[in-house]
Parts: sequence; C-alpha cells; structure tokens
Amino acid sequence: MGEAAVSVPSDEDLLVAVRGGRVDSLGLLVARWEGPLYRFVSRLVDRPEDARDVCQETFLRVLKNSDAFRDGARFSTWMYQIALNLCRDRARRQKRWSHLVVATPQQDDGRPREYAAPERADTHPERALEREEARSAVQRALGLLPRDQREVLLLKEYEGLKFREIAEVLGIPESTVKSRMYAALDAMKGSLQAAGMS
Amino acid sequence: MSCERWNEAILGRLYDETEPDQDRALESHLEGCAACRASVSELRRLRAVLRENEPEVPRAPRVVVLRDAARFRPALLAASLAGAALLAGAGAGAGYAVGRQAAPETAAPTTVAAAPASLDPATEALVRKEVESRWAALTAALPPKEAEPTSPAVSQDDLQAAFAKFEGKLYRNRADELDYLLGQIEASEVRTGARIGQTNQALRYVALASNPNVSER
Repeated sequence: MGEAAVSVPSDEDLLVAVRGGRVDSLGLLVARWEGPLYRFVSRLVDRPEDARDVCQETFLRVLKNSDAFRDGARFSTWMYQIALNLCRDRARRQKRWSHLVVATPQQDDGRPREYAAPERADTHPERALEREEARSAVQRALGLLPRDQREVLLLKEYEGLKFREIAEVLGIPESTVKSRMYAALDAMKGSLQAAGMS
Repeated sequence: MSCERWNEAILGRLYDETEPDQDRALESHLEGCAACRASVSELRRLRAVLRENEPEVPRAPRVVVLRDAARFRPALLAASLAGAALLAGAGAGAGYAVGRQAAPETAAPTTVAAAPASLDPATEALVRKEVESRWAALTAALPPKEAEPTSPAVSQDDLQAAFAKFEGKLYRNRADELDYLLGQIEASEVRTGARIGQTNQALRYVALASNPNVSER
C-alpha cells in the first residue's frame, strides 16, 4: 500500500470506523459517494423520488450491515451491490422489468425544456439544441437496453468500474460481464444510428 | 460484424483493461481482419458519443446522517446550565449584599413611632405633643447615660463576630442550596438527553416509515 502515508482516510477505513460506532464517519462516506450513487441509481430507476429513496436506503444499509463488510473488499463495490439490489427489488415490485420509461426532452406542449448543465452551455442556441437532442437520444437508447445490459453499461461507462469489480457487484463471471457489455454497446450503436447519430 | 471470439479482447483494449498476451494476439488478428478493425474504431466513436452526451442527472439530494442517540453528549448542556446556576447564585449573593446594606438603616436605634394614619389632625397633634413632652421628660431624667459613648452590653467586636457567624451560616445554607440546585440541573439534563435521544430515534423511524418502499428487516 503506497498510499499509507496519505492522511485522507480511505472508504474502507471510514467503514471500519462506522463499524466501531463512529457514525460521523458515515457522514464522510455519504459526502463522498452520494453524488456518484445518485447518478447511477437515477439511471436505473424511472422516478427521481425512487432514486432518492434507494440512495437513502443504501446508506442506511451500509450503516446497519457494516459488520457484513468483508475485509479486503472495496467499499464502492459493496455499496453499488446494495444499491443495485434495491433497484432490482423496486423494479420487481413495480413489475417493470422490460424497459425503462424515459422522460422525453420535449414537454407535452412541445416547448423545449430548460437546459441543464450551464457550466458547458453552448452559447449558440442551435448547438445547444443539438447537444440536448444528442443527450436525450443517448438517454432513450439507454432506456431501451435490457436491464442486465444497462446495469453493466452504466457501471462501466459512467461509473468507471473495472470489469472485475462489475463482476463482483453483479455476482457473475467477468466473461459474462464482458459479453453483456459488448451486447450493450452494440445495441446502443444500433439505437443511436436509428436516431440519426453516427 | 466482427469475429465474436475477439469481443472480450476488443473490450479490454477499448477500456485499457487488457492482458499483454491477449492484446498482442488481438493486434495480429486485427492486421488481417477488416471487420474487427472497423468494429474497434466504431466502438471508439460510440464511446466518445456516450461520454460527450452523458444524460443529465438531477442534483443529488443531501443525505443527512442523524447522530446516534447513544452518542449524545450532555457536556455542553451541563456547562451552559452550570453557568446559568452560577449566575443565579451571583444574583442571590448580590441580593443578599443589598439586604445587608439596607439592614443597618432599618435597625437604627432611635425610632419615633409614627402616629396611626386614622387619627384626625387635632388628636394627632395632641398625641404628638404628649409623646414629645414625655420623651423630653425621659431624656431629661437620664443625663448620665447620655454621657456614655457606647453600650457596655454589646461591643462593636461582639457585633461583628455575631455578624460573621451569621454570615457563615448563610453561606453554608446557600452552598447547600446550590448543591441541591446543581443536582436538580444534572437530573434534568440527563432526562433531556434521553428525550433528545428518543426524538432522534423517533425521527429515524419516521424517515423509514414515510418511505413506503423501505422495509425494516
């Protein structure tokens, strides 16, 4: 461990502290991970309030089941695992296994919705519109993926987990992760081409 | 369509997670397979598109971690309450001091009784005259006593000693009272701490209960 000299506690150190009764450490873990976790979860469930609930429940379970965390494991892998199971439970309960209902970028009255992400807002309205359309095309394509492929693609492409870690999160062999990933990329390619994006 | 058995190796290269042997084998395969070469470059482009057009996600809501009830520390509360008690004590002391200052005035030796307010002016004048004349007679009858500077029965030192004794007794009483007060504050602080703990616990349950999708297992 070359990082032993760094004073910032690792996620795993914090979890050990949580296990020892230091609830404050959970606050640090939450501060570190609520953003990435919410991003991941909100792309797996279909309503923002579901994403919020899953995140809250994930951290509650981290607190409650901190004893179950295996030494040597990675906190993030464990956390994603908990969140993913919660998302699946929810999906099972809602009987929405097949496809995600994706919010369309246009409102019902046809007016374009407000643009998010002002930090990289294009000053040209046309370019901004193009970008917005591309984004919603990607979102729609993601929503069309079968759930198992979507999980892998989100964890890999947007959360940056290694294939080995995804295999651990999902509890499947690494080769299966890769074949799902390949299938997901293939399907995305097809959807985006159909939407006019090369 | 690329050769399926190279998919894993292509993914490895795409995401920089490849074994050196595997990558070398892929390299030699790509030299002779146009379909796989096309596939690699298409997937690279696709990745770029996915990264550039990552769907927006609403801002993550703040997750608030409630403090554990058992970890409630009453020290701060205790300190503030003790401070308040000390202030109260100081107030009582000040009141006592004022009382002490006022006491000698009320205990002034020469007291002329005021006539009852209900008397009519004529009677009052009469009574006053009578009292004054008797007082004059009395004082005239006691000239030698007037000459004595101090009363032999109670000396100044005795008075001071008695006063000091009285003061000491008062201080002891006050110390006892303060002890009692601090005991009460401590007890109430423990009760308050327990109640805050219960409230935190209740809030946690409310947070769980208000979420229909959370099940306590």
